[in-house]
Amino acid sequence: MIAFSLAKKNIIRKQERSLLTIIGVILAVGSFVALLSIAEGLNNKLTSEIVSRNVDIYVTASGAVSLPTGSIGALGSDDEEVEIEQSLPKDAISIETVKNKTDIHKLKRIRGNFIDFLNPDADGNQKVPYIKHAIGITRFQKKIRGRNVVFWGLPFGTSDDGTPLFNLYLQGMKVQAGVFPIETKQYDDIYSCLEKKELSSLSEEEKVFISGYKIAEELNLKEVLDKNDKIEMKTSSSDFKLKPEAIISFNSGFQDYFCYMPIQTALAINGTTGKVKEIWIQVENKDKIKETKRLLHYYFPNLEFKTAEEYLGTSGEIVKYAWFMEFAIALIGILIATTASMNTMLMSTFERIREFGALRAIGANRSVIASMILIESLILSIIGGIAGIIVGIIGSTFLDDAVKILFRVSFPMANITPTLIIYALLLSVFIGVVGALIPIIIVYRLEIIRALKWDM
Amino acid sequence: MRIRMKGIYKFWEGEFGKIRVLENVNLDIADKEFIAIMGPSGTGKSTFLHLLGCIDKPNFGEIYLDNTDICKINEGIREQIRLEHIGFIFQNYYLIPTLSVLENVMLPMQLANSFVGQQEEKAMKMLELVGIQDKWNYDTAKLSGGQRQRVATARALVNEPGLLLADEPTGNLDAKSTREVMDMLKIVNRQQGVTTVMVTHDSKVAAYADRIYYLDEGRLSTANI
Ligand SMILES: Nc1ncnc2c1ncn2[C@@H]1O[C@H](COP(=O)(O)OP(=O)(O)OP(=O)(O)O)[C@@H](O)[C@H]1O
Ligand SMILES: [Mg+2]
Repeated sequence: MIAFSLAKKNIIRKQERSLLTIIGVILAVGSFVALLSIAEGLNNKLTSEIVSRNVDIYVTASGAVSLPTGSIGALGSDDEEVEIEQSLPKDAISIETVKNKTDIHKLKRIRGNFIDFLNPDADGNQKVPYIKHAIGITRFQKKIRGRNVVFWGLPFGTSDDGTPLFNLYLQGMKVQAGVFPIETKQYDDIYSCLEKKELSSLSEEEKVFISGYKIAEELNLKEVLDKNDKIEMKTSSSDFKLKPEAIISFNSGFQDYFCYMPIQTALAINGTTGKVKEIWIQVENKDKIKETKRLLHYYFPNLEFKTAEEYLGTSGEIVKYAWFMEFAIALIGILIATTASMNTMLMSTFERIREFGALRAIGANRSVIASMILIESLILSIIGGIAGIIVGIIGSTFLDDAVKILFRVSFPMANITPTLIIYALLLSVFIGVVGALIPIIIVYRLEIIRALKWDM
Repeated sequence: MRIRMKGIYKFWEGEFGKIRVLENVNLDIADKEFIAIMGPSGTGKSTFLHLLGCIDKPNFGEIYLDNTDICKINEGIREQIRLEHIGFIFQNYYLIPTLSVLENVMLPMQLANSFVGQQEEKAMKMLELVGIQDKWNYDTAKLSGGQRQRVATARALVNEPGLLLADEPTGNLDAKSTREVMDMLKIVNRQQGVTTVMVTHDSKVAAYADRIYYLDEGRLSTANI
């Protein structure tokens, strides 16, 4: 097609200008991809984690807004914990401090009015039917060796029917019993170790945790583990020494970037004994989730109960918000690129008006010239778009590091998804079309005789 | 192609009101005729050719190419006439700078979708005719004025038009090249029966034509040389 070969030749003839346009598009598409990769990654990881967790109903304090992965978005504050805790109505979700330290059976779970209420009693009777398990979990974030680390406090005991409670979490993580693939210890060893430690976790000496594989690498924990050593954790109130028991690998979602400890240890370290962030409920029969939720809401009107979808939806809202924020920032780059591309196409149009006139005079119709302009603009913007995607992918890793520091997040979030790449390509096509728009209008309006006598 | 012009007026809006460029121009040109137009600079010779070439429109008057009044038809048909039936050698050549010599000559065929499959051959033949075939892959920017004029001529003739409009086709040529180009135009006019309207300053060049007209102060008259 003649329009195509003319467009191609003009791009080659005006190399500097073509390059400039391409650079503009690279900047726009690159910043778009890099910025939005964060929201995309967050979304993907959240979804995969929440879906895989196998929790049917989430109990949170009413009005509590938090991402399931912890303190993302707690901008620069060291006290994000407090704020979230404050939003917890103390009467409703508080767990009584362990009363009877000798009652091992009961200590296996976090004891407290609420969770006891949910779980069947020793005789198997339940106030709320259909509930299989209910566990309290907590999270907090602290600096270790200069890095922000998210700790999960989880119950490591077994339920009355002998199911390891932590398994509720682990099942979701697709880690089966006996498969702690990384480092030294067998699942059972760690498990029993943590279970034992759970009992004495309130003593200053014996604070243990297990570490996700990725964060272990960042903290250089293997060495500590090999030496049977401890690492230090500073909090505002006091310092703790923590002993890594094992390094585990989940190979999915965020989990490799977290550390895990018995919930009592977590509560003690965090100074929030008696409060959990969330309670996770597994229902015996999936058909009964809605009914159970309704019943729970009836009993506890000032708590929030969310199904997994609703819980994901709440996080999804935050992700959506992040998406728009990031898009707004990227928009500046997009506007600059679009203007730059319009400008170059406009300049190149005015320079070539005599040429267009000549083409028209020998019989080319307007649409040939319009397609030539459009193709030229599209070639540049698509080349820029593809290069921009590559730049964006590289940039996203840098941005990820920046975000980790700025927002004190302990795990990488950036994720380049096919959707994102399709959006980026659409964006570059958009820039190309908009860049060609005004020149095309000019060409359609121009009289041949004026074009032929055009002076720059 | 037969041409009839009736009562043609052409004005330009100038700083001090209307400039009358053509005033009541009437002209009949028979099919296969070779006409020369002479006249001082700025009298509207190029304007006159533009009107014939469907590039511009008169303010008043009728122009018939064969039996079509080209002032009354829509732009799409004018485009088609320009492309298929008229060859125009512009005073400033107007070659396409991004295209090579050969590509410039091929362009009208590509636009018209004519001579499909033999466009290159045909273009080379035209370049041979104007005597510039050895420069076929040159950048047009690297050609001299005379060479450009030859390429423009080849491009104008490649679609085998019925009407050739040539605005100073020898304006930049030396005496020898002028003779060559004029011989060539004469041959094309005679052998292919192309009606030719040529603008020139040079009375020796004008002498190649069957008839010579003189354009001055907007009026066309038969020249008395
Ligand atoms: N687009 C235009 N707008 C206003 N005036 C114009 C325009 N085009 C031509 N003219 C005027 O019309 C007159 C005729 O111009 P034209 O180019 O036809 O002259 P010409 O006879 O071809 O001259 P030359 O021999 O120098 O080529 C000139 O006075 C010119 O200034
Ligand atoms: Mg002229």
